[in-house]
Amino acid sequence: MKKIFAGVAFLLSTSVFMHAQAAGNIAAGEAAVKKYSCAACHGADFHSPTTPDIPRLAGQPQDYLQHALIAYQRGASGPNGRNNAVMGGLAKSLSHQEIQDIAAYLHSLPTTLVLRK
Amino acid sequence: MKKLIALLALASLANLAAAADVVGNAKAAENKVSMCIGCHGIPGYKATFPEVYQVPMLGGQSAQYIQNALMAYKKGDRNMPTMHGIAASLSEQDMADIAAYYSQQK
Repeated sequence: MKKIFAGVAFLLSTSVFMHAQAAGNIAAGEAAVKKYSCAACHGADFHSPTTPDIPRLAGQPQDYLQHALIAYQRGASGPNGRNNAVMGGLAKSLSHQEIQDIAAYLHSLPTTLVLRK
Repeated sequence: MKKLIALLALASLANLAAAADVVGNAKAAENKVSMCIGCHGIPGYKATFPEVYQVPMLGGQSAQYIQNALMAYKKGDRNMPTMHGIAASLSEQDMADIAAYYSQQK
């Protein structure tokens, strides 16, 4: 019984820790997207990409944005990874912290994207 | 040089023809999105491999991007078993229709 308590306490503490880790900093994210010139393709508001083959990012779920950047880092040879000539190179120069910050910033921006059937 | 120009002209014509072949029709997608809505139609729905994350919003996304993403899942430039299974079952016309459907959502 004690072991179960310890296990549950451990799980709780790791989930709190992971949650804190996933937070990301919006202001740091804004600085990071400037540093990496993300707006040059994705648009200054991140909702008006310069060409239609580039996605709107503003307002997408924070954990999705984070996943997408990690997927580009992994490349398509890794599980749920992505290959892309431009994003592959860019994502590989990002630190894990920068990914979290960028995701937090992009998620915070206004969007007209919708999730509907 | 003339030959080169003729070739380029031909190539661009072929490009146009290929593009004209797959004009998306949002109406035609209404029977095709049944595979999509089980995840992309549910607020807060999460994928779990290997990161846990909410699936992206598709409504209002640009059609060309959606089409390219589906093709990437089919061909393996995006390596995700769930989306590969779905995208592999779609024709280019299906992809264009689905892309039109979601891009026109507001």
